[in-house]
Amino acid sequence: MSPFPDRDPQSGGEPVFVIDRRRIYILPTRQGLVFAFVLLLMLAGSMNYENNLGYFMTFQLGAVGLLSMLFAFRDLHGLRVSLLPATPVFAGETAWFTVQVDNRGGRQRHGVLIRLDPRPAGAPGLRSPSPDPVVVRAPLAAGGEHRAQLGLITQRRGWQTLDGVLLASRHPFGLFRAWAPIRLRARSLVYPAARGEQPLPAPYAEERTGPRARSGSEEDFAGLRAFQRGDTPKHVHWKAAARHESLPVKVFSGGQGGLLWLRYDEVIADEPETRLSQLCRWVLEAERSGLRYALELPDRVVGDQHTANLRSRCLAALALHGLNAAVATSSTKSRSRAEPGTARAPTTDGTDGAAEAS
Amino acid sequence: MGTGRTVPVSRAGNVESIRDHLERATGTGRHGIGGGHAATAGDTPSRQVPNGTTSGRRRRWFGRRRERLDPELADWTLSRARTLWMCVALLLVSLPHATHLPAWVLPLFALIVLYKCWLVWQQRPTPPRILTLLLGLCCIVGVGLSMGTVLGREAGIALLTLLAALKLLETSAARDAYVVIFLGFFLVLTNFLYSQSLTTGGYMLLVVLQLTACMWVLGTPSRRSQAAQARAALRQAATALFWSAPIALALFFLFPRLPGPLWKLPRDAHAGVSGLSEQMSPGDLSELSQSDALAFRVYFDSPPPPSSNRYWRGPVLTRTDGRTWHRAPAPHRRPRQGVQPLGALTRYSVELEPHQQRWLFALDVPVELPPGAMLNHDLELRSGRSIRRDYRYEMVSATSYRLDVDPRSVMRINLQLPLDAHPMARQLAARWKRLATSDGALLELALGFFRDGGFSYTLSPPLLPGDPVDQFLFQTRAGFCEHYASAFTVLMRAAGIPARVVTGYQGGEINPISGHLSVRQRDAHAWSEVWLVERGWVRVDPTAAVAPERVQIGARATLLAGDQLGADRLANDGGIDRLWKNLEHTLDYLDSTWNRWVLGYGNRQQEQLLGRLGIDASSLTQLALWILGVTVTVMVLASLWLVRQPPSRDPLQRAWHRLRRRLGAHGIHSDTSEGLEHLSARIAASHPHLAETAGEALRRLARARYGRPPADDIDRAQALRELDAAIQAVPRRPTGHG
Repeated sequence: MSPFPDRDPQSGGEPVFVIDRRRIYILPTRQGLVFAFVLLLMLAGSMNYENNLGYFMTFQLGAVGLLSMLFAFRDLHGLRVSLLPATPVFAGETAWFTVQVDNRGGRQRHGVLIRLDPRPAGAPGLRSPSPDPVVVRAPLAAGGEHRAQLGLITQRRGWQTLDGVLLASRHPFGLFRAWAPIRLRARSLVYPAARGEQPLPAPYAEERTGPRARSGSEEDFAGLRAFQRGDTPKHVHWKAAARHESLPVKVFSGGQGGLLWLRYDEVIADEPETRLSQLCRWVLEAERSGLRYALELPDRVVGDQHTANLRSRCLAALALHGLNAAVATSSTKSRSRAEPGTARAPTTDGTDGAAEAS
Repeated sequence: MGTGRTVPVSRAGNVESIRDHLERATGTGRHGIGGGHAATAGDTPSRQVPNGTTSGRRRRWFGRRRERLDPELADWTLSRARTLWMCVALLLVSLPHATHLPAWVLPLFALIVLYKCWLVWQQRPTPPRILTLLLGLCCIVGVGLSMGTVLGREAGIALLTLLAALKLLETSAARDAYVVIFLGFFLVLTNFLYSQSLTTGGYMLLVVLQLTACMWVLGTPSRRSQAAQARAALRQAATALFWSAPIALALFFLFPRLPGPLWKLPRDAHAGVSGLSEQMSPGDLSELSQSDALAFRVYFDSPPPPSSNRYWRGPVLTRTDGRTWHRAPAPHRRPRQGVQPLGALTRYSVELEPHQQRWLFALDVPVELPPGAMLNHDLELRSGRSIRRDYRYEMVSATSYRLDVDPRSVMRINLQLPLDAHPMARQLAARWKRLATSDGALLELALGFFRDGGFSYTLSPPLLPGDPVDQFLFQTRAGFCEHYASAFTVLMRAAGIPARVVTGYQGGEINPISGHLSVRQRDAHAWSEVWLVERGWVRVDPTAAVAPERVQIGARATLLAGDQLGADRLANDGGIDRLWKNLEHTLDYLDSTWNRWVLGYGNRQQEQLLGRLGIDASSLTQLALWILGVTVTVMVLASLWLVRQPPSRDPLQRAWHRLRRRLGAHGIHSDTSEGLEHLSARIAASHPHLAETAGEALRRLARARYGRPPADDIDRAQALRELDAAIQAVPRRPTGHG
């Protein structure tokens, strides 16, 4: 392809937020206020001594101050910002969101800062009022781009949303600060923290018996079928039974090694979160040991037909267990909040548990 | 201490900071889902994680007051470059004060500044606050001891200069650095209290440029190349100053001017101006005549009178103690007096340099007075208040005239002589009085005495420790104009003719460029006026009798002609001298324009100028609206220009089009779907002679387009230059190869 196609490729299809003039706010900085005070003193001095050069210099500096507002504005104007997907993390880890700033114009931007918005517009109370903010300088040559990473330390499993990023600039003289809240959101999936002392349960294959063989000598979980006479009660999916008219029975297929069932019910703990953490740790251990495993939660089962991303599917299921309702409401809320020109960043890891969660 | 250099964010470099944040996170409160603490993506060595003691918070006032820093300025460090910029700014701004501050102030200032430089270079911590405070106290005490006060203008400036250096010394955060710069701006203003000349103005404009650029440097992360940094800073500052100039000009002309000061000025507010005074002793004028300082400028509306007629009347001195002449106090009864012009009147305007006195200068003698001025009993032109700023007034004078004054009012004071002084002069006068038939004849006798008595005109006359008049008349016979004027007046009074000394200026130099006349301190002159019954007051210049060229070519030239070297210089009227003279005239012209339009602009000028533009200078609303209008207009224009859409096509694309045109000339066409490598291969196959050059150009293009983006504008410019050179290497037209 030609190096300059007619249409510029979007940055990986992410929604792009273009900072136009309506999105830039400007206020004097503390230095700017001190500067104004000094100018007032200088004006008084010039008036008293009837000093014309003093007058002129005072006015000139005043005008420089006014114009620096314009320069600060110019430093942000026309920048294109997008949020890149964050990779999922475990609770307690830092979720890194990548902010990409693209400077299309032929002008270097000298003082652009990217930071978390200390007071995001949409989510009061969700974040502590002033976390130690992350400020990253973005050196932007003419036509250049910069990727900065903002990290949020996650506390709980579920979705960690980043809904307040702003770009600011005090260029050129530090007298005015221009800032533009970026109306983009991104979220990162937060797995439960991998914790727990319980050893991995024994692989299921060792307990396999006759009726199990009748249904096929394979060992992989293949799905559910209706109960038939002779099926061992162990294979009845009791949790799912409540929702079915007939008793569902797990069917297994193929495989050489044993299938390891990681069951919510097998975790010895009272707290659901502790159970999920333990399951999370089991998933990681099983993955590390190269075992074949499946996850059974009270309301769903994540099998291992698609071994390619079994781990992430399992972890996502754990992350979102019991949170579906909350996610649904929060996503509708954010959608209703979305104004023209704002865009919702897609979720992370398109193939992960987000789909299974729904 | 970090250098403030910014590098692209990488996760690898953040492990430390993440851990720190994690640790901190566990210590703080709980947050809901979707909340969380911020972690840093710290990107430079200088971005230390705030840990509550050093970089995040600052310990102030012995730890009593802790203050959070603005997180956006938290990564600010006092780099070497920033220190250097600030030091240079402070030195530049305080250098002109060298002449009017106590000798120890600037060396101490420089010492503190250098100490700060050393600290930063050695990466030492900022000295404790107590040290700065102590130094500050020492400075106040020092200024108080050496200047007698800590108040007043000079002392204030000395303190301000030292304060700026001390503030620099304690600078560790951005806020302090900005305060240093603001103090620098204020110091610029103090310089204007001493001089508002064009030179000072130009120099201070450069200083303001440097200070503004310094603010840029304070707020912008450093780059690798200090030279590029400086260029960018200066360019930004120059752009800002350029766009601010129209606003500043509008404000300058429109901002309402007060007729007087806001508060009482300190006593030393207007020190150090030399000029004529209300008294004259031998040696006063010869001292003054060494100064090239400007006294006033004259713009003639009618043809200027010849040099020998240009007597600029100043203070009139009528009382003498035998050595010094004084002005007389005003009489109770103002005498009736009238001026009868004989011949054409001269119309002109005078632009007076501030001399802190009340008299005005006018061509001998004034006929019509400017508003607010008055002519007193001695025909002195006096203004209502002392001249503290450039003052321009319009005058009409008669160079040939007849004065009618009531004789009774004149006699007594103008015949006063100290009782026992000048016995020999009195004898001489008595002899003349016996010889002469009339006052006129006596006058001729006296002038003849000076003309033929072996008198010489010199700038460095011998000292006169005894009776100055007798000693001068009968022993030394060498003197400057004040000697002649005073001796002649004494002689006249001794002979019974009322006489007085008039001081002022004589001559002046006409600027060939603008045609105005510049009168300088070196043109200071003193002459006599005698009262003749039939003619009234008559000007008599005894100096002209001794050295006629004094009134024709001026004191300087006359004195130069006296010695051989000077005569050679005058004779050699060409080459470098003429060039120098031309330059002098040009500068004088510039300076006069400057004075007229910039320094002379005051309350009255504002009324006139704005009146001509149809603006009512007394209406604050109208002025404010105009100021607002101009400011908004300039801001809008500037924003249109500055925030105009950046060029849509980037330079790489333009380069690609250039390359395509060149290849097209060889019959190589490429459409948008073709990749660069394919195109390169195709050229190598079909046009082997172009393979090398075109291949190189395409390679560079591909690297610039798809390679790692350049770190900054310098790298980018370098890459573009190389790409351009590579494209240039591709022949523009097909040569013989076909």
